[in-house]
Amino acid sequence: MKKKYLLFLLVVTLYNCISPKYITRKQSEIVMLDLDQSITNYIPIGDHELSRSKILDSSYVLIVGKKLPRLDKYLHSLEKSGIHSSDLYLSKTLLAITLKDYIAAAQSLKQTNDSDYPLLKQLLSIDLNYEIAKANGTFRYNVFLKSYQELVDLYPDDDSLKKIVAVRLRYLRYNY
Amino acid sequence: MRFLYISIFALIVVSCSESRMLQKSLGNFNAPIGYLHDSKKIDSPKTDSLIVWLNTQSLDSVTNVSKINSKVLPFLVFNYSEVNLNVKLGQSSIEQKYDDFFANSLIDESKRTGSFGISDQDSNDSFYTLEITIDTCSTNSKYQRSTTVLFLFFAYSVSTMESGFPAETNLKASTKLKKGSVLIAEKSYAIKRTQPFIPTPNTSINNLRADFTANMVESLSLSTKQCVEDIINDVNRTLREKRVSTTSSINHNTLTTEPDFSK
Repeated sequence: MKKKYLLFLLVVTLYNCISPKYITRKQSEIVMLDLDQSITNYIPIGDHELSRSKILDSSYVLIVGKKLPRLDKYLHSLEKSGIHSSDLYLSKTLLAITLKDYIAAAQSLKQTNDSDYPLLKQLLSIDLNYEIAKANGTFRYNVFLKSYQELVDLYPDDDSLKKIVAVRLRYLRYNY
Repeated sequence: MRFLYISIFALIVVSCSESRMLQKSLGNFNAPIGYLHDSKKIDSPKTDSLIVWLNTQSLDSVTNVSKINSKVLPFLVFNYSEVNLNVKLGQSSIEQKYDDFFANSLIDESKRTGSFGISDQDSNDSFYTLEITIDTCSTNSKYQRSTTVLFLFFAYSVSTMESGFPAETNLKASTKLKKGSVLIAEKSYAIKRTQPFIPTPNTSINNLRADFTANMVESLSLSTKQCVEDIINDVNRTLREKRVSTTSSINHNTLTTEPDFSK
C-alpha cells in the first residue's frame, strides 16, 4: 500500500514537472493567433506592439485563449466608453478574422489609422482581399502576387515580412 | 494457361487505362506560375543595355503520364494492387505561357538587380546581346494509386488511395553574351530542385490532383527563379569586369600617351 502510494506520488510529481503550468508568450516577431489552416495564421504583431498597447495585449491573450465572446464584450464596452483608437479597431479586425468574418474584418481595418500600424494594415488588407475574392470566386493568383510584391518592395529590409509573404503565397497557390 | 494469358492481358489493359485516365483527369487542372522576387532592388544607374534572345520550346505542350511500375498481391481474402505513374509537366497544366513567364521574370529581375537595361530586339542602341537557350526543362513527379480489396463471407470491401510525391525539376540553360558579334562570355546552368509536396489530410481526389499540379508548377516557378537570378548575377559580373578592363586599358593608354614634361 505504501509502495503504491509512493509510486502515485512519483507519477504526479513527474507529471507536474513535465506538463506546462502556463503558456508563455512566444518570443518571436511572429505571433501565432490560431492553429487552423488559415491564411491569417501568422500576424506580424511583435511583443513590442503588444507591450505598447493594453487593448491589443488583452485581445491577444483572449484570442489565444479562445475566449472570443469575452473579447467581443470587452471591445464593445471600450467602444461604448468612447474609445476609438487604432488599437481597438485592429483588435476588432483580429477578432473578426478569427471568427472568419472577413468583410467585417476589412471594415474594422479601414478604421485604423494608416500611420499607426502601416505594415500590418497593408498586409492584412491584402489577406482580407484574398479571402473575399476567394469567397466570390474572383481570385487571380497573379493579382495577389503583385500586391504582395509591392508590399515587400516597400519594406526591403524586413526579412520576416519576406518569410511571411512567402508562406502566404505558397498557401494561395494551393487554396483558391 | 489460358487463364494466365487473360489475367496478364487484363492487367495490361487496366494499367494502360490508369495512366490514360490520370492524364485525362490532370488535363482539367492548371496552376498559376509565378514567384516572389525577394532580391533587394539596386538603385544604381543602368550603364549598359542588352538585347535578349530567348530560345525555349523545351517544355512539352501537354502533361504526360506514363507508368513506372505496378504491383499486385493476390491473396484469397486480401488483394492489393499498386500502380506508380510518372507525370511530366506540360504547358497545358500551366495558366500562363512558360516562355512568356521566363522572359518576364528575366526582365523583372534585371530591373531589380541588373546593372543593365534590356532593350527591344529592334533597337540599335545596345552593344550587347544575350542569347539564352533553355536546353532542358522537365518537371516530373510520381503519382501512386493503390487499391485494397478485402473479401469477407458475404461481402467485400474496396478501398482506393491516391497520393502525390514531391515534384522534381531539371532545368538546364545556356547563355552566350556577345558584344557585337564577338562572344565575351558563355555559361551553362543546371538547376535541380525537389519541391516538397504537403498533402492535405482528408482531401478529395480532385483537390489532391489540383494540389499535385500546383506542386509541379511551383517547382518549375522556383527553379526558374533560381536560374534567372543566376543569369542576371553572371551578366552583372561579366559587364562589371568588362567595364573595369576597359577603364584600366583607357587609363593605361592615357598613361602611355602622356607627354613627357621632363624634356
